[in-house]
Amino acid sequence: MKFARIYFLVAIVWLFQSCFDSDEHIFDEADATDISIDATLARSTTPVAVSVKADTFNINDTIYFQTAVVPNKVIRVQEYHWLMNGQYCSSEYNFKKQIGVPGYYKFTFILKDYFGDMHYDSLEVWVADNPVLNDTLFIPATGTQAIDPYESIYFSWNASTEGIRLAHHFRFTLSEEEFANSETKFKDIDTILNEPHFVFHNELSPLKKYNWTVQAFNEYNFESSEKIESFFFTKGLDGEGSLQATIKTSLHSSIPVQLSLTDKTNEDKVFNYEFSISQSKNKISLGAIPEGTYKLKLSSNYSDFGAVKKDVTIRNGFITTLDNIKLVDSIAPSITSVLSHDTLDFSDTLQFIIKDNGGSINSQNIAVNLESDIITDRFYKDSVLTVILKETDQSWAYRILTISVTDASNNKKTKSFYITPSLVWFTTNDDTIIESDEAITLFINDINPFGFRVETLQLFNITKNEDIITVSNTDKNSLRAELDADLFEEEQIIRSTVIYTNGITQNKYWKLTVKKLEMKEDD
Amino acid sequence: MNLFNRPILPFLVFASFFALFLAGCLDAPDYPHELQPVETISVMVQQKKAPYSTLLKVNPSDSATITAKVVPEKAQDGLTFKWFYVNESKDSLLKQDTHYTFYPNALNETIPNKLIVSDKEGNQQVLEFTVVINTPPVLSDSTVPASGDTLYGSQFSAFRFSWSSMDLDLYSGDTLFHILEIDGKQYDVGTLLEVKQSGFKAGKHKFRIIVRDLYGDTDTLSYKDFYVVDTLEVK
Repeated sequence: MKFARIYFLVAIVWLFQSCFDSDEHIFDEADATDISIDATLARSTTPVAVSVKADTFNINDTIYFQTAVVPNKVIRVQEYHWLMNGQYCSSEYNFKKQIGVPGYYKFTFILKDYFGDMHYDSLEVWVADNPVLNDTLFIPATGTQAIDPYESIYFSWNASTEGIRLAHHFRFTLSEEEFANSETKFKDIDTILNEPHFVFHNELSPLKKYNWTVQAFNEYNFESSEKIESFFFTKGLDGEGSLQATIKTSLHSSIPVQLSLTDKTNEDKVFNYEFSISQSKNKISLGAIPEGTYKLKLSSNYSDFGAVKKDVTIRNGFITTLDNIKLVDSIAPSITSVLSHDTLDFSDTLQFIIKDNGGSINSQNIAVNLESDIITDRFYKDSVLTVILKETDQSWAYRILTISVTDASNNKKTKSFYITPSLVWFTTNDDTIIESDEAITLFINDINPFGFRVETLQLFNITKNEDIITVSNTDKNSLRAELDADLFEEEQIIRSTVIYTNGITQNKYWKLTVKKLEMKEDD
Repeated sequence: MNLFNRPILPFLVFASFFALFLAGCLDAPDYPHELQPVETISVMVQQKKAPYSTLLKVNPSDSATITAKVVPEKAQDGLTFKWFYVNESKDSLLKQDTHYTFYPNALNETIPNKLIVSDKEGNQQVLEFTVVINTPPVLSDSTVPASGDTLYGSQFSAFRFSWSSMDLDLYSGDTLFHILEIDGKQYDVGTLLEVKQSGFKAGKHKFRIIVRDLYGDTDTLSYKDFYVVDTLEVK
């Protein structure tokens, strides 16, 4: 019992003495480790993503919430979580979230450390969708005519961002349509407006087309996917209208065009216009025209394009628009040899005439092929194509020379010519001139290097279409005959032919001219 | 002296500590009165038989009653409401009541802009507010086109629509916004008083104007008919 009392007394004393040993329990700041947190948000988790404390997001965006803890995230903590507008949101250090409801959101990261100290960091997020621009209901409606160019012009439209009340601003542009035959002095307007309407107080030009566009942005700078792209026309003096046309042409380069308007009620009243158009600059505006009904005729300097004729009505204050005028060249160039033949004797220089009435032909648009070989030695000038053949291009067989030409409107013409065999395995007469009182020795002498056997030797007058000499089933390989000049006409083409037993036939054409003595005397 | 040999001593020690503990209890403050916390106090205004509204906007043509709504409602008992007009930091007590009726006019001294709510313990909540005297906008019945007008042109002709609206508060910063409604299509034309629009086929059409000011007061014209005769026959 005594032992128990002593034990109890010692315990009480020990308890009390601990109270006096309080220095050991005093907080020493030097021994503490600072804990701090930093919450950020980003649009992605890539290294280049910028982390911020506040940002605006589209409802389709994914927001990445991130937390940094100093000294690190492995410190002993009691609890941590995220609040969104005061409500529990997540218990992860890092998480991603898509917010589908527009509005303002405050995210708070809360960390309760091991000692019960609370650490907070907050982020602000504004979420909205892209604005919706009503691109069907606006003022003035698309194609409005007869706007007075000297009065104020009122533009109005409407846009909103669903689910949230946001201010909007608008990019507004106004420009005058450009035409190939006139220059505009209008200074384009490209401005930002805070209201969904605009009043243009300056003067416009009469009888012109003006294009205007609007795109909406909300205060988060999200842009509308819709865009108003509209136009209107201004009017001229009373009793006047105008004509604007888009002329579709196949020509890449500029083409001179003549246009005339003849009053159907008074054919002496004609308005003539001249201008040039091209594929890229093909819109014309004819200025003021008295109201009435007219016969329109459109033609160009190039006959391949033909002419366009239409009836048009010009109405008071209105601009008549023609968008379906086609000035098209569909005629391909023509290709002929200077000899007008499609079968040509081999020559080192061959010439062809290439014609096209739809603009000049670029030399680069001419291709010449001798079968599969491209011939680069060719020149085109003043409609004449000169083709240079090499000696090695000669052959004992027919060769095909193909010429392809593409005109300025992309019409392509391809034509092939036959080049007669230029290598023959026999000798015969060349072009010869004899006097009418002389005789000529005709000959064929086979010298084929292959040992082919000759079956027929023939001399044939092409001009008279009659046989001169034919030797068939012969074992000879030559022919020789002397004939008087009076057997021949003044001029004739003679064909020397060798037919071999293996079926190969070789021809050579040559010209025999017989000069009459009387003509000689006259000379 | 061995105190532990006396059986009464432990009891005395225990009794002394217990008495000391009870003495501590005697020093504790009184238990507070059970108070009902006030969550919100909203200032509301009413004119004629319209319901009370937190939109503090009154028409100068009629008297208005201002009140404060306390949530929860049972907390309202025991609260004191003092309505003041404050000008240049000088408070003028207008009335001490839950309700205060006044006639909106140009002399703002009768229109409260401050409310002090006090409970029995002297706790106070101060609410500062502004009651806007707003005159509703008025549309003139004179428009272009006038009712029954015939317009000559075509579907693409630009026809002029114009109207006029008035509001006595325009000089005090109010703004009027208009909606032009043509054949059921509403064009939000904002502050414009004139536009030119096309797209009307030959025949009968109708339009009207709706005007709204910054405080939501509106005026609407009745539908006006106009007729389009196509004289140009544009195809």
